[in-house]
Amino acid sequence: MNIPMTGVVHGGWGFVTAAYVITGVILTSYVVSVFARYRAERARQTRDSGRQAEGNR
Amino acid sequence: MDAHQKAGFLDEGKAGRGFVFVGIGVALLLVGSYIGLFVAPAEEFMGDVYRILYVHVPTAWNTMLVFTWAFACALSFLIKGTWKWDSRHEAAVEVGVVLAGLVCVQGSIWAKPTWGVWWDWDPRLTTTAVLFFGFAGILALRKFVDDPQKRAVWSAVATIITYVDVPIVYFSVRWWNSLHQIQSSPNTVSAPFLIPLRVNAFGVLFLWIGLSMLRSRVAAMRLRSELAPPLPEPSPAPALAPEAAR
Repeated sequence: MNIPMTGVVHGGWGFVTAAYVITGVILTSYVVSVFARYRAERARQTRDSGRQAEGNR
Repeated sequence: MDAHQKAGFLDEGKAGRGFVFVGIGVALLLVGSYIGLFVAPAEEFMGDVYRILYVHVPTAWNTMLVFTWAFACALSFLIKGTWKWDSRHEAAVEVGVVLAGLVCVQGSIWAKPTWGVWWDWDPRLTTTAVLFFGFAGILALRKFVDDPQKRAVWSAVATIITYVDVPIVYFSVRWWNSLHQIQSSPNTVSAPFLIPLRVNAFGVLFLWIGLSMLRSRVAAMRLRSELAPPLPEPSPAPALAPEAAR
């Protein structure tokens, strides 16, 4: 396609899609990672307090 | 008030608000991105490529905000010495590094079709890269230092030093000749472009506040177990009598 030099950017939806997809993937991955670490720490805390109670008995 | 609260630990019971903030942030981002991609008109010179700015600009604004929060947390820890500020500081730095990395990637994707290059050692881009690597270095520092007190103090001091780069990033486009355009204001942006920009800006704001709340609880729980006395060994299973074992 021969586009005259007008200073106007033509097309570019590929770049737009890439930017939104990468943003979505990075943010979703980070949200999932924070949720997973939160759940894991809660579970560990419950386990540890159980062991602590058992030790006190 | 329990003993942990007296010691200045973060209250882990209030994490529910974090989930709510994340939910609102995600919803706003979905609405703002839909308007930015499918409702807002194309820009006169940049055509459709400018739609990248609806995620890039809000991410950039919030990167500076979250690092400002990290700076405030670091300063509060050094002044007050309570552990909750260290947990908040750790969370803010991590969330900020994710956003700063994202800003660099989004900017690079925008630069290729508009500037013709993926990256340029332009003052704005260079100072933003310094910001990303500086705070990523603070995360690495926190990983390598085992003593919680030293880790908290050293990383707080490092954050205060690295934060000097934030105003430099902001003013770089005014102080030096830069390929990157200067800051826009509502007076320089047409109304149809403002709506998705603002919706996404609030979306990223709610998202990082929520993530920061949850992540700081994770840091607080780890800190508690690090500082707690060692747990008793699990009791061994009762030995069976020789007759029963047979």
